[in-house]
Amino acid sequence: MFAADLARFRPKYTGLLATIPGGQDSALASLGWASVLASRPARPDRGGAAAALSRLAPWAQSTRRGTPDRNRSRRSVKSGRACGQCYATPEMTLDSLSPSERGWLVDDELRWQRARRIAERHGHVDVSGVYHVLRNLEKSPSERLKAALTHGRLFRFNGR
Amino acid sequence: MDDFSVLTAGEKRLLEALRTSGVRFMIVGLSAAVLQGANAATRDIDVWFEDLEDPRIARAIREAGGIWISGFFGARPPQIGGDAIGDRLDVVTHMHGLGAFSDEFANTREVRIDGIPLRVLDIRRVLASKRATGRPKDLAAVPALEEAIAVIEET
Repeated sequence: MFAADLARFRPKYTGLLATIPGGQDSALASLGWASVLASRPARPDRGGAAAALSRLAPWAQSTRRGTPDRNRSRRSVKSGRACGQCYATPEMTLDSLSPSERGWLVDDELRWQRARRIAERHGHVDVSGVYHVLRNLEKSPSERLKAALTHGRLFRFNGR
Repeated sequence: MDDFSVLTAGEKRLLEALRTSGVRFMIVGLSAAVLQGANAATRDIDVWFEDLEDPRIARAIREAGGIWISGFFGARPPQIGGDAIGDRLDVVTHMHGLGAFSDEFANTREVRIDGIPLRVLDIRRVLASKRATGRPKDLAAVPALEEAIAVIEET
């Protein structure tokens, strides 16, 4: 059930997850990601990495070839989102993440799952909005208020 | 974070003075909602006093270095003025869609802002007020409040 949901709502993850060594990360496996991989239909072999690269948009190809670009990672991610798939670029693979980064990813996935469950129970609310509320609740009330006032007005206009 | 502060020194002095002098007030509006987790932006901290003619309000404001304009005269509403406090604390005179202050006070919860315990109107009542007010800017905040309430009801 969960694997199907994840595959349906998060198609962009499937490419990313293709790089997870099976069973290496028990935390991720416990989230059902391994089963997503197992249930993912195998992609037809279209000629390997070179051919896959040629299917990307020209600007994405140039990013992959190593064009100096400080937005490199962001562009790669965006290219995957734009077409509903995720091309696992070297800088995006889970293997390249540190343990703390992987830990963050696990926690964040749990947060998203919780947000989705809450949104489903409340019908009309937005999943992303619920997610951000969950993030907000991890801050102190003072931190929340400071962020809200910072966005609502510029602190420096108030002597700060 | 020990050195984290959202309030200015003047705002802190004022809120402490109001609290210790026993003035009944509560934080309302989007600030109240944000303190309870809503993901929203706001320009000010709305303060609802039980009695605007309470002389302790004026004393507390003077103590904090500000100026208290209590009544409606000229073009201005009640206001906490003066540079020492700034302009982020707004005085609310009426909350659309809500009951009397004394009734709504039962719908507050204590939240510490920079270590100062303050009464904050429950986010569900903030939502009721926003809906009743019905201005575009109030209605625009409704989804954010609903999202926060959905989470709060699950915890």
